[in-house]
Amino acid sequence: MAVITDDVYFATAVELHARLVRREFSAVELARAFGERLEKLGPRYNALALSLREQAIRQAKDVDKELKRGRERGPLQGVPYGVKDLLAVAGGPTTWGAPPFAGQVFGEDAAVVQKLEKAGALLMGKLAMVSLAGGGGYRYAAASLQGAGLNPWDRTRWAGGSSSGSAAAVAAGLTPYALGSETNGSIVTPAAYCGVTGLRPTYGLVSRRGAMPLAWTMDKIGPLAHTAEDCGHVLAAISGGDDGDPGSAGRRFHFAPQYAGVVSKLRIGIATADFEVHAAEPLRAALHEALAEFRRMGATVVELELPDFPYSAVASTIIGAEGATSFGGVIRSAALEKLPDARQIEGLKAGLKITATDYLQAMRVRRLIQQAIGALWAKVDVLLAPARHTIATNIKDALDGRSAAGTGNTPRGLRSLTTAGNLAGLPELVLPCGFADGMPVGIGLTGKPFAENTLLKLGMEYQRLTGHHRRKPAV
Amino acid sequence: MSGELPMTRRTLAALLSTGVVGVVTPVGAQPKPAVEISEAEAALRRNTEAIKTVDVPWDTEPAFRFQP
Repeated sequence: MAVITDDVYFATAVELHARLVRREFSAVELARAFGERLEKLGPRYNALALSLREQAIRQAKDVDKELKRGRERGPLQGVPYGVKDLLAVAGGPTTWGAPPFAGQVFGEDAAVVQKLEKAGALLMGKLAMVSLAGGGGYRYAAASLQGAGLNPWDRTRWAGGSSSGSAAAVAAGLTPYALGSETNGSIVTPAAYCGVTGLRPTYGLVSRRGAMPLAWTMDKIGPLAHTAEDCGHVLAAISGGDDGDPGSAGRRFHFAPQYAGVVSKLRIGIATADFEVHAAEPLRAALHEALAEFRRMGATVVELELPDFPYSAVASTIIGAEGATSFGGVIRSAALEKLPDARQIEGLKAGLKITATDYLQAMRVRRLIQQAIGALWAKVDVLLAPARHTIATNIKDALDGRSAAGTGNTPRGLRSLTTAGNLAGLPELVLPCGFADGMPVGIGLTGKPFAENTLLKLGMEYQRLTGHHRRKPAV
Repeated sequence: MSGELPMTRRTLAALLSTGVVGVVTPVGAQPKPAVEISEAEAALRRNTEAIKTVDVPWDTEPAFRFQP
């Protein structure tokens, strides 16, 4: 019987699969080890919604038989993972992180769970999230059925949201990778705060069938992992057209960074203001060093800024209207009062008051935003900006305060890039790039629609040259 | 989706086995609901006003069929 040592818990999916093929340990041993670790340590970070260890061990037995017969399915075969608890897994609770839905059970797995099962991946558990993925807004990190997601680097700080449990589980070595989702920042924020690699894919690339709908035109499902390479393999497994998702782009992602062009020929758009004004002072050294590393790779750096639009107002109107419609049943019921965050309760109710004309006008402005950002790609291939402008906040802090830096009359830069990128359906890859005050700092690469291979190529090269993604918290 | 689905014994056992349901993290004092109501509605008004500042050409259609 193999001894699972600590290095295994922080290994990448690719490394773990290779070690499974070499029979250093079995899939059953790996599932048992990660399952026990997730059950034991997940609650320490309020990261675990539901353990699926026994089911995973049963699946692992089949994986071991396949590997013994030499039947290989790919680099995710036999590797444990977790999913945000807005993804349906048949027969057990899918709570959406919200007390009104604590007992909700679906009869069918979400599309992404079905695809990962076909890839031979082992689903270890459902991971905690902010209630309703933050629909309606929320004031405190405790807006979750499981309580505030705690950061493995410092448990007095927030893991970020809304994919809090997914990011914390990867950061703490509880699962090698996890699925999260993003409507407006919910992969990018926890990835940056927890020091893991996160990928928000192009809208429509990954089926939303079986996922809680917050905003139909903005929801995306994507991976959080230790490396860009792992994110690429996961995205390849979960992507693809689906008639069951009306927003599906009808295309599949093939992970092939070797065909994404030469790094030294890429043009990276940045705004100096992001690195010197918008980002809080403690983060600037790490962010500047990351920018220097991309320059050393030979890429051409181009100064630019986002077009001038009220990105936050447009996103809030669209998400507010779509979310209030999606959750209309619970908003109009007494069950709404069970949500732990008063701001969220009132925000959801307010969403019912967004008029049709306001929503449609926001969608018209959205089209202008798409066109204006589309014009940037004539000048650059990717956009590089801080993933977040501060380190992870204290779990007791109100989340609706302005950031310390970049208020008032400051240059626009790429400050609203995450919101703009979500409105335009663009992919973003977040990479750990160092530390500030002992907490992780993340930098984000945003690309054209369906240009994930370019982002991943840059991300993999960056991670080949640096070691930030290998740092791990004391767990 | 309603939250009023029946709780089976299997579901309850699954929930209880995690040991995490009901973990409460202390937070700062939450503003009263009246404050939250007025702030939420003020946010709606601010958003509407901000969107009105954008000059939208007459032939711009909403992104109905949203494809990036």
